Amino acid sequence: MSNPILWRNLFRQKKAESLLNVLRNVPIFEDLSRLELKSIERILHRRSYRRGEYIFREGETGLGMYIVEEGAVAITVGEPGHEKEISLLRNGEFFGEMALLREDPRSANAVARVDTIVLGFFQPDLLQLLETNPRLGVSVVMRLARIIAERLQHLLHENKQLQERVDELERDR
Amino acid sequence: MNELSLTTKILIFILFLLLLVIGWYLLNVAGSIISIFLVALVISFLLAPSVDTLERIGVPRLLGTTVMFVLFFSLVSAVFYTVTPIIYEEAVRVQHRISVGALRNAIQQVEASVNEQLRILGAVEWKLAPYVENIVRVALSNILGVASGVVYSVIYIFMVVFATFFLLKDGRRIKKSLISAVPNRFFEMTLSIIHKIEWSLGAYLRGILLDAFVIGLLSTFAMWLIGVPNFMLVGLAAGMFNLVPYLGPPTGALLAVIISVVSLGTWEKTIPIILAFIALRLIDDFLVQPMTISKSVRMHPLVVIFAILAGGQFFGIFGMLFAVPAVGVFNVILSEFYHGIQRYRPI
Repeated sequence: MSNPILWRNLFRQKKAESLLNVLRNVPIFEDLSRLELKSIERILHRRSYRRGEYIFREGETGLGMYIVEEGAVAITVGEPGHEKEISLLRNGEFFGEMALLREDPRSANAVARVDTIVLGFFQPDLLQLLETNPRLGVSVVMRLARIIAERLQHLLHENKQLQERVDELERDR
Repeated sequence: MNELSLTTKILIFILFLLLLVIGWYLLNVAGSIISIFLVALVISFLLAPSVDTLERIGVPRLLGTTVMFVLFFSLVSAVFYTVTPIIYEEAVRVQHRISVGALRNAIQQVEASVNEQLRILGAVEWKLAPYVENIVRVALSNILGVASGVVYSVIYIFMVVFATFFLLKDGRRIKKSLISAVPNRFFEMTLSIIHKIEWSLGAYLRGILLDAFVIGLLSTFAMWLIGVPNFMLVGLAAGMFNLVPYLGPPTGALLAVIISVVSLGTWEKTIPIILAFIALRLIDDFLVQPMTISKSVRMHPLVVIFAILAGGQFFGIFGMLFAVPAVGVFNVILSEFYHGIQRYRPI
């Protein structure tokens, strides 16, 4: 009963399971098998941030996306001291996924609101995954493309609504 | 792209100098251990793509590493056990011929013709043979010394083999552990720089070695066609000298001329050998190098010449051989580091 190794192993297993559960809920990794999720887990980078610490800043070159494993991350825009929060992300939510495809400057700041643990998934690791396990790599890229396509569709829809509103206003004038 | 401030540039320069001093100190204190690690790193860079390919078709990393590792070192051992004795015998034969006077006869022909001209001009007699003989004898005895040194470095080779295996198998895990120690602020920048260095370095090392191999093979074939005795020794040397740009190829040609003169006792093969090396140079510049070495990692001729001279000054003939690849590696690391800092602006 008091075997410390057994308890430690059980604890580690529980932690690994909870990490897999976090990944399972991320749209980019949904429907992947347990074995595939474990392959993904091996290439992720686990980082801890203190409350108020920046994960990245607006304008810096982005290299990949982050998943909130534990804690809360605020996405803000504007200069330090005059920042405007545009969303607050909690456990299982992700941000910065565009940088997986292009090394563009980040369009917003990401700052930890409480002590936070995030999982980083970066372009070099995605490229490595495509090299060594193309089937898994392609399915991740396909999901990523689907998310971006959905977002584009949403933007087009919003754009159409705005255009209609502009037309309406012009007719009323 | 962000412009760096003067203070940042000065700080980077000081950091660079500090790294050089630390590197120099470490080389002196633990040179052999560092060289084991570096050689292992180069071999693992060369083998990594094939292990990745095996992993892609479903072979587990450990098995893939073992297979590629056994194949590579079997090939190297096979080449070592079959080619080395032949090369060694050829070198011994050439050295013997120098002592029996074939070189002396050939040089005496030149001496006689030059002295004939000098007599017409009323100048003193010119003695060339002892100087040339001495230079060639010292150079060849060095080659023999190095060859026997390599044979007896079993422990060194064992350590390289051991380190290569673990770098190939666990390289990614080692890299991830090292990156995890980087502070949050510099983390993404470090990851990006490491990735780019890895990519450029792998491409550069594979490129120059493939180039040297192709030129070595072509030189061997050309020397065989011309009928140069000991053509394998000449081909091997030409391939190795090809790692030294500008100075390497003429040195290879000179060696071929000396060996043919020593072995045959005449200068009749000199023109075909020189023409063959000019043709090889053109093939290398216009055909082989564009296919093997990426343009982005090529260096300025002045840097190359300076590197060769510095390498020769500090580490002799091996310093000259490895100076350019070493500077190439350093160049890749420095430029990626500089561009990385410019993009991320961490201060």
